[in-house]
Amino acid sequence: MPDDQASSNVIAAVLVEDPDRLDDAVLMVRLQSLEPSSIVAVGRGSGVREAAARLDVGWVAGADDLDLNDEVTHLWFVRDDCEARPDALAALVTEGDRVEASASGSKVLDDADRDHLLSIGGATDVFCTPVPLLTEDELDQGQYDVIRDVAYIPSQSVVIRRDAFRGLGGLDRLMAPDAAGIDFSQRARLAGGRVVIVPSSEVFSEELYAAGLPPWREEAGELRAMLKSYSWVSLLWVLPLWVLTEIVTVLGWAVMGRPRAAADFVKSIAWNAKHAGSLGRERRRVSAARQAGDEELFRFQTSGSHRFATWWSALVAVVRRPVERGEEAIGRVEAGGPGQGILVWLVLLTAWFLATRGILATGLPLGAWTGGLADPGGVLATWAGGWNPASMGSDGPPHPASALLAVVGVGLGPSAATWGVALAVLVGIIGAERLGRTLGLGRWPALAGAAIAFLGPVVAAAGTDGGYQFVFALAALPWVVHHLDSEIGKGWRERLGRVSRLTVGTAVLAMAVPVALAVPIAVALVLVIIRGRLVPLALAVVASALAMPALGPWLLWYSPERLLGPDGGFWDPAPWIAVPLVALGALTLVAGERWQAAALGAVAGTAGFVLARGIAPGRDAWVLGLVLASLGSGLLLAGALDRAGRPGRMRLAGVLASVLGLALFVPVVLALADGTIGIDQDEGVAEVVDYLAARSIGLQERGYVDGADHPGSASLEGPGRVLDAADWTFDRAWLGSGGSTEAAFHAFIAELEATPISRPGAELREFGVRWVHTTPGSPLDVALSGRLDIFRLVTPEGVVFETVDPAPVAGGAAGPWVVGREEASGPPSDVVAAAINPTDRWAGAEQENGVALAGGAGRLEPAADDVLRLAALAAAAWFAIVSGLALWGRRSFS
Amino acid sequence: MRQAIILIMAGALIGLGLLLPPPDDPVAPEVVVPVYPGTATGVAFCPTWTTDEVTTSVLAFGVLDELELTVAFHADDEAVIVDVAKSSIGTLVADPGLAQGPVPALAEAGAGQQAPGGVVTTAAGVLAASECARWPANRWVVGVGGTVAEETTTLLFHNPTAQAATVSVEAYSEQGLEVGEGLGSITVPPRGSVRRELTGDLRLRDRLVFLVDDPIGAVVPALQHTGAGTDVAMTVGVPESTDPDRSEWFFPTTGGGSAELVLVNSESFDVAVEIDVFTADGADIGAEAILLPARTSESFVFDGGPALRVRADAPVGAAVRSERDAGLAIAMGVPTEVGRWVVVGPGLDGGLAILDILNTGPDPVPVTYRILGPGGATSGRTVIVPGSARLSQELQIENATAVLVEAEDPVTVGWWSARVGGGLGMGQGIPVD
Repeated sequence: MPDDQASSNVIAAVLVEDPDRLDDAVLMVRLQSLEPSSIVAVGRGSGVREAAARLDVGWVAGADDLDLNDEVTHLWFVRDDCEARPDALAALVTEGDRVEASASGSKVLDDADRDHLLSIGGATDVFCTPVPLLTEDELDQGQYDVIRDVAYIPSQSVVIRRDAFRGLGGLDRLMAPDAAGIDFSQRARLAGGRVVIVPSSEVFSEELYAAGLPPWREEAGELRAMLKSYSWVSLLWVLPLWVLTEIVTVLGWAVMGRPRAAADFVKSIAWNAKHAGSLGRERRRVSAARQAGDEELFRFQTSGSHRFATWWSALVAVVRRPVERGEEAIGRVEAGGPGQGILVWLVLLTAWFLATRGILATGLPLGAWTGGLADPGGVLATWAGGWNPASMGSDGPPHPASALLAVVGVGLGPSAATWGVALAVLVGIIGAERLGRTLGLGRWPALAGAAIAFLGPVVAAAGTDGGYQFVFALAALPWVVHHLDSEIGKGWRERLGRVSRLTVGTAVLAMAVPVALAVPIAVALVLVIIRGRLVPLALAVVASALAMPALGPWLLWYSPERLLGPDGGFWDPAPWIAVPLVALGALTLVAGERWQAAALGAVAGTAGFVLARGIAPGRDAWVLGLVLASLGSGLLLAGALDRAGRPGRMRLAGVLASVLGLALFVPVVLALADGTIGIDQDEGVAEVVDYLAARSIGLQERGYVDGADHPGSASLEGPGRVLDAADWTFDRAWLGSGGSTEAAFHAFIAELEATPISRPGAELREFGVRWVHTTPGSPLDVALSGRLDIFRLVTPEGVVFETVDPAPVAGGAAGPWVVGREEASGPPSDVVAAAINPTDRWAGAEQENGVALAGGAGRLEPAADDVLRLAALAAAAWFAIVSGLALWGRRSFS
Repeated sequence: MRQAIILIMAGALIGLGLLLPPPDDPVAPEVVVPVYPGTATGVAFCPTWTTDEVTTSVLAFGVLDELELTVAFHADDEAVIVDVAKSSIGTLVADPGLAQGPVPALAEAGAGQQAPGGVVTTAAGVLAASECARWPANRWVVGVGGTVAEETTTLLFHNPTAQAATVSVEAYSEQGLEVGEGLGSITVPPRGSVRRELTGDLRLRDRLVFLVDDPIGAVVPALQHTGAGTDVAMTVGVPESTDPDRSEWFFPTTGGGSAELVLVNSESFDVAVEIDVFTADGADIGAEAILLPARTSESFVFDGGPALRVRADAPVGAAVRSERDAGLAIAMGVPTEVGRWVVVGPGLDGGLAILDILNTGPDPVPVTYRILGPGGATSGRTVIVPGSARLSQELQIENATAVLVEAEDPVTVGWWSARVGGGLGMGQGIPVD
């Protein structure tokens, strides 16, 4: 026996929870190479006392009752449910004394599998909750076999020097064993002592924590340990933080089906309140012995709350379980060959169907910019230099988005608007998911980001005012970015294909929103920063230049000012959208390993934010802003979700970003519920359109929406808008280039408001206007109310006036005519007065409020503009060629 | 480093976006219901025309240079259209040749023409005059009626438009606001009329003034009132007010006898009202100043038929009832002073008529008036109306139907006539350009 052992006088205090185990425990103690001077059973109850008597060992109810005479040097606390190696005590005493530790603990191995570690002591968090250092099922390979200072030592086997034990007031008998150990360890360190783990002392135990007491007793003890040891200054911030963290945690557990956590929280506080009387005495004792500040405690503490982290890990595990299963399934599928990503496709198609089922059934909700497309061929004829019937007619082509939708319509027929939108959403979601993967994201985060982009809050904000333009541009943009960021390929064929695909995407994007021609270049500049490569920039310049001809007639006809479109809106996102997005971006950028997606999303989203708030004039800039904001938000979320599932630095930031991101899924759920990608009908416009259709008697008659404050007028182009037909079609959303008849009509309305007349209906009929929609009390309402030749009807959305007599747009002596997109016809009359803008298309003489057509033949055809027609045909041919090259250059075709 | 660049870019863009101001909210246009939206209105609503075996009504118009009129007499189930025209200054009379009782009329002039018109109804012991309304309104005031003893009061609603209209009526008597039986909601058919003789719970009221709510602004109300004698009084309603902050009514004539001015406050708060009295001798500004309680009416009797002006700091209604030995007359006020008036009615009964000209300004105003008749106009006669005074001119005219009054400064004009055989007629001028 070494000298130091020989001079040791150890009392073995067996902590008894089950008297039946005392026999084995006493035997285990007696077999120690360093034999204790006495063995004492510590435990309440007659069973313990009787067992101690039977075994001829001492007995005390609590550790404080131990008789510590001056000869005693150490106390060995050993639990009755563990088995110590014969040299365990000797190692603790020897090594503990060698490093001058006040308390030393044994390494605990799993009794069922003795190669596995159960505890080597560890740190606590700031709330005195033990934080294990071991991973689950960690093998003992000697990796921790060094004497180390720890925040706490496991309660299985602990040696405490008698002087420390006595000086510190012993163990707190009120506390559960592990909490008592933590408490004693803290007090020892504050008093200048050391608390160490001695790995050469090994014990075996089935349970890490002492059995017999409910778990909340440990939690209550931890709180008491805080209250005893921390200075008042520390308590000032620790306690509120503890309360908040505990509340969040117990609520979290409650959500996950463990409401008991809340009860434990309450019990813990109640228990401490019950024993608050002894706190003052305990704090004074700690204060008297204190040799170090709270920093000594913080040295062995981890940041954050272990209990919160435990809950969060459980939550992440629950959330990720299906994802992991899905990824495993995908892996299996991919490993199996064909049918790649079946599960992702299944989810994607299901979400798409749910989100667009309402659109598939009845079309995009009706608004100013979501009219139907009844005659795609006619729209294309108008695009190619024909007569544009919008409002009171003009020569200028409709918006390129009309031509784009009409091209879809030629293939899909009258349901083009419906299927065009639905397919655009599908193509766009696929593109966004593909883009996410190009940016290095996992498949599921990419898919989640795509869902936010197409079903998220920005889509709802765009509403029907965003219309087809928004949907088509949003569908094209991810593909454009994807092709910009992808490898250009090997070989000229593959490269040509890549450039062609990028050009096609850019052309579609530009036709939906012409100002978006500049987007590829802007995105490429961001990619240059992110990737440090110039290739995307070169690609973007080429693609934007090559895509420009797609706009053909539009570019040739309109002035730059007009090219920007009519007045746009102003996006003012709600705080619950904006704050999570900003926080998401910042946190993901700072904390993310895959920050590139978030970076692109942040720039796109913020640029979109600026555009959507009207920094550039025109509706198209507004739509483009929303498109960028939508895709940006999706990329931000995808980046955050991807970050959340990976270990690494600043995990908490990533987790927080994910929590914020989840808030954005609220509109996704709503979008899936209503089946119209979150877009609601514009009731003001719908009322006007429905009224026109319902009141139509087969004649070509117009309606007028008062621009003052009618709910429908806000989204219609123009200060007050003439609706030229009972069926509201998409191409009519843009006013066209106008003319003198239209100007005269608006002048008449202004004059009417200033000086009402008794028979305004007769004047309205001069312009082919039979219905006037306005709001109660508006100047136009006053001017038209109670007049002699017009009816007044109050509707849910406002007031409608209807002239007593029909108001055909055109007519001669023999009867009314219809002035259509491709012809004007009616009963033959030498002179047909048509309330249309005088233009080059119709060979008629300009007259007051319209044109006098020569209607002797009963039918007239408008002339076409040859230059515009040529431009349109050239654009179509060019588009076909580039599309062919895009297909030809695909790798799979190579 | 790259993250930092991106963060800075994004932050700058967010900052820029937040600095961008939202578009200005559209300014709600100020809605002003036109009472006289320009005097050049080419429409006249004449609900009081009535003719039968004993009663004769003449619908007459002053013609300033030329006038083409289409007059629609809206009988029960048909409209009798009468086209009349005159190409020089004078008067026009529209006669449908009907003898079937009350038949409201609607007169429309040609483009750019004015149609100042009025109706004079006569019978044995009866003389009643009323102007044609020139513009529809959403809220009318009409009075004064009464139902004491043998008195009767009948409300008439004419809807000249092609759309049925519903009006509601509030009655104000000496007991304050009252809801008369059957007056809460009255549907008036398109191009037709409805009559309501007051009975039941509005019997035995000394004075009655009515507020007519007409949401669409299609219906023109009128009132017929008989007293103890044979005479009948008629008037057409006027828009209550268009200015929510004030109200001003002029009564250049009150019939030459004992005049009862009835004021109505239909607001939910008390309104300060001041009444100025004008005679040939001058003005008594603020002769009466009261706080008219909410939802009540008050009456003031003035002997000698002075001219009156009512000023209030909120919309109030005002009407005058005049009684002489000859009979009974009622009239509404005019809300504005202008420099050119047509007075329709004097001389139609072939007797003496008094032209009253009120000048509320401090300075004398030269006024020239010309008698208009079917054959043309007399040469003008110029009189000076003293400042803050009412000047009365006797018009001894035969078969004349209108007087054109032109003043260098704004004035108001009215007339009254008392028949020797019984009957008192009273009317106000019609402003013209």
